[in-house]
Amino acid sequence: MEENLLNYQKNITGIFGVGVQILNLARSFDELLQKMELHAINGVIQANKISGVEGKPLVTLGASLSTLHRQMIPEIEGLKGGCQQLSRITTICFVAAKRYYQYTNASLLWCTQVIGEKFKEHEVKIQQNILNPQELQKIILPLLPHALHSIEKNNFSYLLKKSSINLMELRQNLEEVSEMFRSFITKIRQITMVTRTARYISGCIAVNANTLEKKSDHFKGLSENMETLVNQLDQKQREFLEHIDLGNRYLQQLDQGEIL
Amino acid sequence: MKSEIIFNERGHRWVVLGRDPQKPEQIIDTNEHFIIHDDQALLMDPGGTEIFPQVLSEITRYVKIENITTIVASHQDPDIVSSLALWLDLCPHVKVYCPKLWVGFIAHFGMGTKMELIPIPDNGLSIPLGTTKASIYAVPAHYCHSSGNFSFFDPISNFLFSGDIGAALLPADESNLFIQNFQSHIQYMEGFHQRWMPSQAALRAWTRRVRMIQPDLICPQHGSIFKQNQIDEFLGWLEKLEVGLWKGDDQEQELSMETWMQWKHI
Repeated sequence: MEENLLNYQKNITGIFGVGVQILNLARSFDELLQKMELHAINGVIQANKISGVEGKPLVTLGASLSTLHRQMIPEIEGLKGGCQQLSRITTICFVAAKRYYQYTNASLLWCTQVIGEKFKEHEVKIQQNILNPQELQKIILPLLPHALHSIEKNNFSYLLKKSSINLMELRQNLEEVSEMFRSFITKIRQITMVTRTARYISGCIAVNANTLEKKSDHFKGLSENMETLVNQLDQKQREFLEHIDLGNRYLQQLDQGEIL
Repeated sequence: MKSEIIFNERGHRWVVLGRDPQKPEQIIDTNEHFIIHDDQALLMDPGGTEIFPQVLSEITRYVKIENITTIVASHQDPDIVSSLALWLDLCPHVKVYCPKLWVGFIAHFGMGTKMELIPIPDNGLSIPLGTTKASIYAVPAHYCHSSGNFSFFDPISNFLFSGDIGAALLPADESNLFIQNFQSHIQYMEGFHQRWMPSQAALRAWTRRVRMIQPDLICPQHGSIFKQNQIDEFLGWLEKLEVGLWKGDDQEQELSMETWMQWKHI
């Protein structure tokens, strides 16, 4: 029994770990977009130094690029805040699982004393239903001696009821985690769109740089830097989705009462 | 875990739990005492999280869980009360009393549970047992060993729960609930008191209060229970015991230059 519930808690810790990874990735997005903004501002400054009309498209492109980070601030802050919320909920889940374990353990200790050997015969069935207090009650109640004191019967039902409430709260919180994962995906899609825009603008800068008589190398360099940053952002987004996927698998296993 | 009723008169019972053979090895053995009066229960130092299932499964044999109305904590240690959040979750209407000095500290055992603690003032308090007419009394025992510390006296049974005073670290094969021979019991108490009791003056003041109360039993949180003549012997022993000043080997605490250099990575 102990092993089953400890593994259950381990899966919750797994989700907590996913939250930490997502938070780190959100910080990386912020950092990469900030770098992008700095490069873009530098590009605008350099483009303004180019006399005549040939610098104007680069000023516009650089200016567009420099706003992308600010556009993404709500999404990034949303991710960071979400991760804090996620760690709060996973802590609640962990504590609820601990409570569930303690109550169930107390009930089973008591059953072992009261029912004795007969209880051991049903151990496998009890183990299988450990995360289903109603089923547990159905298995155990017929095994209890008829002469049992009403206080003890009352307490056994009370404990199983309390376990059910704990488990229900735990599952509600896990449902909230699932909802959060969905909202994270929405946010990451916004960031993906910005990444695509940055890649497109970076390409335009490279095309315009080819037409420049002076400072062509500078803007080609800017375009290459942007390309590198966009690739890094793409990579981080893929990692992000992999972590969400892992988190969802943990949730699925917890829902089924299995161990990942 | 064993449980035994050690007082049962006029609808008033005092039950002691302890000597758990299945207790994890690294956990100090504790006794949990509770009083049942008119079907309502008061738990004294309900214990740590790790032994909660064992304590709960024993208590369920005596009282309805919903009827646990009061919990008192003698001080703030984890073996005393770290299970508090679980009890509060299980019995949301329970009233919890603890030394006022430790209110903010014990709240750290909350685990997300709403925790309203009733502070026991330094000079003690009469604590009602739920809605019954019975009460127990928080007897000041500060610096014995904690700086905010109480013993609990039940006037109906005339028993005193002394917390860590009189505690003994018994060998695993010693399973007697009551002390058999006081003189041979001293070896299990002496080291504990010398190390954990910081003030001789405080201990002597406590023994004066206990002589005034004249309890029939003294029940510590670790070890065995004192009865009749043993109480007088115990109080006499306690009054003479030198505690509060470091009497160990100073050499043990000294750092060798070699160790120090290792720590400093020199």
